[in-house]
Amino acid sequence: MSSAWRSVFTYNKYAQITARAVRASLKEEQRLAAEKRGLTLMRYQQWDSGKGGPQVRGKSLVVTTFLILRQITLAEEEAAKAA
Amino acid sequence: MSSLRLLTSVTRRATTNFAHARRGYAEVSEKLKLSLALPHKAIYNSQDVVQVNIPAESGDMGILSNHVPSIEPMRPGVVEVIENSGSQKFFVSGGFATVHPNNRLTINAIEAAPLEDFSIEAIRAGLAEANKVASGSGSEADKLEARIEADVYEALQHALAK
Repeated sequence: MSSAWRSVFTYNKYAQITARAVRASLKEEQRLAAEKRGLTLMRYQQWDSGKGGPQVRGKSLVVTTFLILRQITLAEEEAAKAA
Repeated sequence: MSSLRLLTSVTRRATTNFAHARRGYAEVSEKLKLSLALPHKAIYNSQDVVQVNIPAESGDMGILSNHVPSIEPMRPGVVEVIENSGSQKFFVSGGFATVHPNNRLTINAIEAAPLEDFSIEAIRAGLAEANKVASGSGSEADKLEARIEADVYEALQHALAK
């Protein structure tokens, strides 16, 4: 088989490319659903008093990192208030 | 002398034992347990199946019950699951199939969908676009990426044509 990509891409990148092509080939309905979850770099969920909140998917590393940092800052502020 | 006799009796016993452990086809009486998992859902979760055909990197292969443990990288292609009630085909984007020693088969892929979920028009459009980029004047990485995509679309067309 063609392993010409090995010298240029990592396996993860290769898997990402093939998965994207497969997603793009789906019928309209399934494609929309697939593209919604499509490229996920991160997924997080905030837990409050033993209950998990909604799961948030991050498509962009920058946005997700920002959101997580904000959550951490908020949590720290709350903890400081409580102390 | 006695040690020689012992040795010959041992070899004789060994050969008879060997004759009992006959080689044969994989037993079909015990079912293969298949797990076909994607990051977002499990299509099969430790379900009893008869046979699974996978598009391994080294060539298409069929896996029956009691297969020798192995790890197979997969090309983008069709995974066919044969159950008593009939067979179902999925197109997977690549990934790994692992046969475990305890008669379990796990297949991991990023994307997989039943063949009937694919649209021939979308595949044709994707292939045309990928071929255009592959023969265009983009960077080497872009062209290679388009080449990989074109391979996937071609494999899909081939799978749907059957």
